[in-house]
Amino acid sequence: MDYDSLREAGSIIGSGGLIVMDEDSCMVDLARFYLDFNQDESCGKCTPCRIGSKRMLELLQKITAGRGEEQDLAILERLARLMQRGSLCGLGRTAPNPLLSTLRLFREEYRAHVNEKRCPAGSCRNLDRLQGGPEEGSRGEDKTVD
Amino acid sequence: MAKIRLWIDHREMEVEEESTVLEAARRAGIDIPTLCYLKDLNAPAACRVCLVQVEGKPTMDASCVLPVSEGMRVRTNTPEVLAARKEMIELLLSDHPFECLTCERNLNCELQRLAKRYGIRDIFIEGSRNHFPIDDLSPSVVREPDKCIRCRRCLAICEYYQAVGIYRMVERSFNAIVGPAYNGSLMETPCIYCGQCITVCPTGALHEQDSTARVWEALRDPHLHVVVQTAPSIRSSIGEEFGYPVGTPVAGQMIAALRRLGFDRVFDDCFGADVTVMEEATELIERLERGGPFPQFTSCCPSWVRFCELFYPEYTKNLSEVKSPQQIFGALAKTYYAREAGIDPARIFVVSIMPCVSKKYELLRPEMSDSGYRDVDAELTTREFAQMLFQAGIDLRKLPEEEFDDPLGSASGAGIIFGSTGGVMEAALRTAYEWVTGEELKDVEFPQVRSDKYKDAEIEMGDLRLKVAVARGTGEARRLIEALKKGQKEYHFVEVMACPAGCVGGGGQPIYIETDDWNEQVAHRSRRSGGLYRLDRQAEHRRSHKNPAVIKLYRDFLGRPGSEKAHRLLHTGYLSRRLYSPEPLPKKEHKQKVPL
Ligand code: SF4
Ligand code: SF4
Ligand code: SF4
Ligand code: SF4
Ligand code: FES
Repeated sequence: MDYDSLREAGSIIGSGGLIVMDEDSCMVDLARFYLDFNQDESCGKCTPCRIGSKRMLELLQKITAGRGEEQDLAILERLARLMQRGSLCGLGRTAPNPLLSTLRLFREEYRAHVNEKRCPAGSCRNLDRLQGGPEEGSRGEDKTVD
Repeated sequence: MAKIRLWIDHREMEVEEESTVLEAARRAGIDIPTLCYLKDLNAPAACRVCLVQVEGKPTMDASCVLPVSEGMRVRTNTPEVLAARKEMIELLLSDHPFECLTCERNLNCELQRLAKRYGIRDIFIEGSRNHFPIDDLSPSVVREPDKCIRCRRCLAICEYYQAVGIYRMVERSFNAIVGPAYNGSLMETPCIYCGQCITVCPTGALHEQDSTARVWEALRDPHLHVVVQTAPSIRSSIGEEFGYPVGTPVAGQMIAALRRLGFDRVFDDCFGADVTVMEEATELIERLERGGPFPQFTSCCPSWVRFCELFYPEYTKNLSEVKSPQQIFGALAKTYYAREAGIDPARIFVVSIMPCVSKKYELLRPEMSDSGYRDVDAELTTREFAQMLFQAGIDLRKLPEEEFDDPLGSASGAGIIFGSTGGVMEAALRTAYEWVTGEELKDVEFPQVRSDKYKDAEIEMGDLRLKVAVARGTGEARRLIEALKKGQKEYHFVEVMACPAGCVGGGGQPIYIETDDWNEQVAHRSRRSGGLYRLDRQAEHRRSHKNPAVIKLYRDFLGRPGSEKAHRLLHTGYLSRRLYSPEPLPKKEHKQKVPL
């Protein structure tokens, strides 16, 4: 594994860490987790990163809480593209990557959250509650939308 | 200078190598919107509404900071670029209160204008908004951080132009805001209340403390005798608000408008300026006789005075002890005028119309009550004055020209040019020269001190070579004082005004949003001086000591310049102030309680 092979796989080396996951990991929640981190790290100087990452996080919180709507995925993609193309620095330009790659590779999981209010990995607690399922098992802490 | 060849929207062009893409595009007549950028003052590349696409690049770039390069091909108006800019504006609006109808800057707001230009009808994304408290504790400047777009122009002007440095980026991520340390109140900072941050703010996030309500109230009160003084520069700036070309002098219509608003007497602050000259020239001569302390600094700009008190207290002994024209006028209105007109000073309410937000602070300084009352009761900026006229349905263009009232209404040309940078100096020189040499000036003009750049000169007065300097902006003043300290410079007399181009560029003047170039902004403000110099050339008297109204004042009331009475009413003292400890100002309630 080196810089070039990772780039071919659509990733970057970053700090060199590697995360291994199985089917119990919810990809939407994962994207939410990373956005939460990046949103927090934003210096707040430029518009797309300061407001865009907040809006993306809010949408992902909404989706993982079972309140997602059909158009939200398209809006997420618009926001992600705007941040990638228009942010001032690398943080804002790469912040949407986890969202874009999970959305590309696991779109079905997003659809299940939005359309069926179901979390295939069984990890988004609020969705399970909506489905009458078990309440335990949520990993990412769910912050509610303001 | 090397040239660079590039293509913008398929048009080939050659520009200087240090140009930005924005500059190159503008030169070719292609406009790109900007919001945070203010050429030569602020280019944080923060707002991102000026995005362009460089062909072959996956991302877009902020054209305001993008350097041109050889062979570059740029697109400024593809559907993708236009859509990205539009989304950027919508993102900004998603964290912005929709309060245009009740906003200071309604119809004169750069954000609002941009939203209109991009046809924003719908915001594609909504979400939570920041809610910061409004800071209205300072006597002069109000901050409404919810309307802030984080452009940092206020930070840039305060730090680089004024060398005060009140604003910082506070917090981070979504909550990042531009404000004083810890997002506290301006009142707790060494803000000098110049209001320059207001003049460059693209939105309504910064504005002056409103005084119109108080003035309306006074005008409605039948027991009050409400007099108004208009600062020198108002006559050449108020016209802008009514569509006159910048710098058109409209003194006559302005006076008529004030009468129609209901003021009992319309006086001229230039008369106050003439008296300032009499006292200040006398003080200069006294210092010349005593041998110092030099330089004598002018003291008619309260922001500069506060700057000196805060940052260079060891130089307050150099500040002229003479009050500013506003305060001289107020003190005379409640003593001399009250006596002449036979009116109880307790019933006199003095309003001043100033280009300035700092004068709101100055009139509250506890010592500014030598008449036995608060010398000046309320101050309106040029903008507030225009607002009152709009409200009252008074259109300057439809009014006849009228004259100021006596006895505080006639001024010399010297008093009029106080509004321009170098004007205070020139006015004082006209009088000091004649007093020192005993000769009459053949030409009263001193072009050596007229400039919108830092200027110094030597003036020959008999055998004396008077070394003078004119500085605008406290940043320049700071550099000047540092040079004095190191012994690199020596002067007898120095004029400092805190605002670019002097009071014509003051923090209370009409806000001009047609340019994103700081030098062009200053040039616009300087054009207002043209009107003042024109009025000076037409004036019957051009030297303060030849103004018959001033001669009468000294004959009938003050005695001579520098007399004991003049000292008591027209002179003041200064404090050394601590940087981060708020000093109490007197409550806005004043002594005169008039029976209702
Ligand atoms: S700052 Fe501008 S956009 Fe915002 S409310 Fe005021 S006028 Fe409207
Ligand atoms: S009023 Fe002047 S000193 Fe105060 S914050 Fe604004 S620019 Fe700075
Ligand atoms: S207060 Fe005004 S000038 Fe300062 S950053 Fe905010 S919008 Fe810009
Ligand atoms: S230069 Fe004039 S307008 Fe500016 S702060 Fe001083 S007195 Fe006020
Ligand atoms: S980023 Fe260019 S104008 Fe703001």
